[in-house]
Amino acid sequence: MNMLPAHFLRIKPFPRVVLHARSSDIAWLICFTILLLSVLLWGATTGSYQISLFKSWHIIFTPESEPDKLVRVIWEFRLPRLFAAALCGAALAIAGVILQSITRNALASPGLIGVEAGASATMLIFMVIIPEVIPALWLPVCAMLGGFFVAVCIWALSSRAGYSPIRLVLIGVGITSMLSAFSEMLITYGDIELVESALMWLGGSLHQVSWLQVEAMMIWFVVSGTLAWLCFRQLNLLVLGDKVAFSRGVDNRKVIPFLLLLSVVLTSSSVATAGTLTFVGLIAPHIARRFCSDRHGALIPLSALIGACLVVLGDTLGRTVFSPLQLPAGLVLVLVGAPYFIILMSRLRKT
Amino acid sequence: MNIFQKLIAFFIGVIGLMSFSLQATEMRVFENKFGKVEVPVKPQCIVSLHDFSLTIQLFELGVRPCGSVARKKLWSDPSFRGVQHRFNTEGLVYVGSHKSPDEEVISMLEPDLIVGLYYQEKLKNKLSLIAPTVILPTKSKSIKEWASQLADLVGQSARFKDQQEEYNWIIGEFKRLVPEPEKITVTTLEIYEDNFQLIGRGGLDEVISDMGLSRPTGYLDAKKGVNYSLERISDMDADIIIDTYEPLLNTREDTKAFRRSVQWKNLFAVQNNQFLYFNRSRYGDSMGGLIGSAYLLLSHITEREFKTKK
Repeated sequence: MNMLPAHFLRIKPFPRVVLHARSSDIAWLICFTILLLSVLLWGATTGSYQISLFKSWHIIFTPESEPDKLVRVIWEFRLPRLFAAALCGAALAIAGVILQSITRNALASPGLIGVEAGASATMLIFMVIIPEVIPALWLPVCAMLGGFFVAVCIWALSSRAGYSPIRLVLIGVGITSMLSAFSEMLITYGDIELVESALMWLGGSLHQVSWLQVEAMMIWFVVSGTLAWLCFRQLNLLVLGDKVAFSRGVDNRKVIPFLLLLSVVLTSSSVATAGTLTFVGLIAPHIARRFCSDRHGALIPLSALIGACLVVLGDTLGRTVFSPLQLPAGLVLVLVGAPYFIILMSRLRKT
Repeated sequence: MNIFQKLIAFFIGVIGLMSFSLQATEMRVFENKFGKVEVPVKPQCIVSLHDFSLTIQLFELGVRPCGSVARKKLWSDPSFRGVQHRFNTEGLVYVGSHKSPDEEVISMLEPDLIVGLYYQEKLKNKLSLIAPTVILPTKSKSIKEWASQLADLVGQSARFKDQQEEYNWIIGEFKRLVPEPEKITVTTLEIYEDNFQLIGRGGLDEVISDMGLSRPTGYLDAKKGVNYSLERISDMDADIIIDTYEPLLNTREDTKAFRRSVQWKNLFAVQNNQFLYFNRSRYGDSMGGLIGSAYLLLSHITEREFKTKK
């Protein structure tokens, strides 16, 4: 029988599945779940049209007894946005954890290694250069394909002479720069009205999100997020170095492409839903590490909860502070999150 | 309840039912390239998703929209571009920007019709949850064509025909006074601090085309929506050069230095005092804009001394 330290909990979610977790990790997960629920509730009651908490509660749970107008505001406009914000934030945060772990680089994030830029550039092509070729409903699929294409290029180039984390990051940075320049060119020389719409989307806007997109995002998130979490042991070993991981049975030639694929799916589906929310993938894992260090079993869900909180907060502030003027969530996120991130990083002990 | 009270209750019920049936909205089907939409025959509360074209045109048709998008900086009041200096906008509710109108504010207005531009088609599904949403083909059709659709939509075709009548008269009068308009070249552009673009706002390009005026070769070879270096300005020289300034953005002052340059002063249009500098927001993309711009050109070309290169 394994003897566990006192601060470890033994959880048995399914028969023959036993998880060992630190009680502090569980406590933080519960704290951030409560925080996310609070932020979601606040988001549901806040907007251009103020609806009290009590009334919102009624509208959510007994919509048939409430006026259509209010039901529409909550059910068709606010809730899809909130759910999409939470899912995108969580997806980007998990993608950030994966990328930071497989590259063993604290600066790695979906925005840095080109996947986000690939999805964005593809969306811009279909929004600005050939706007009427693809129906609006299919644009997210194009963004995903763009993200995948860039990821395949990065992987092919970085693993040609054997995989190296630093090479993957540097090639990603190069491709990001190239695609950013291309996007800038489209923005500068495109039809002004189309560019304005594209800019709103590029800023990370959830304005156009509908239930259909939430459902699609949910599927991508649940599948990829669960698979990513199931790889927590491999991630724990990969951060210790390829040799250590290999000695414990983790073959990076198989595991890393799979993890990269998961991060691409999470990033591309998020970009397709909400545009570019670059900062979340970087900041959420760093905040989460303050609470659970590099234990990926807790780090992945905790980062997801923090990422979700950040994007819901950013979107709610963006649509209410200067209402009815809508600021993109991505923009608010950077404005609010960057100073906090700087303070957080400056307080980190030297490692 | 006695018989008298029952009778009163019965009559109140009957009157209530009658008033309800009288208020029931009469609907019809409106169709254009963006699809079929069931719309009210006489819409009472219209939300416009573009101030500089749709809101202006609605006011010109004598219809006061209940809500409109506007331009707004973070700490300033919203500005209904091209509208508020021509019409009383009191009671016109600001519903956000044309890129991302606030659905909650629109929903609270309880509109019975929402009208938008071609690039707002992606908002149609969501806005249709609030009210019938019609997208007008403002890019693929001329102002006259989409304004005609809008007039039909809001039941103001008679007023539109008056506008069309006036516009056609100006064009006819111009052609009577200038028998060979194709011999006159016109460049419409916007000069910024370090570049320029070929744009004719307020329906200017449509008026120039309707009048039969021609464009210089440099203009025809160039692309619209591209920022050209100021060094290329001489390629755009024409009998008339039309630039516009935006009072809200201080563009007159920002481009003053360039207009003092030798390069600028050497242009034929400038040397012959045929450079026209219009207020960019005076006329919107509307029938009123076409009429206003047409009068301006008629006056500048036919009602004063005018020179051509040829």
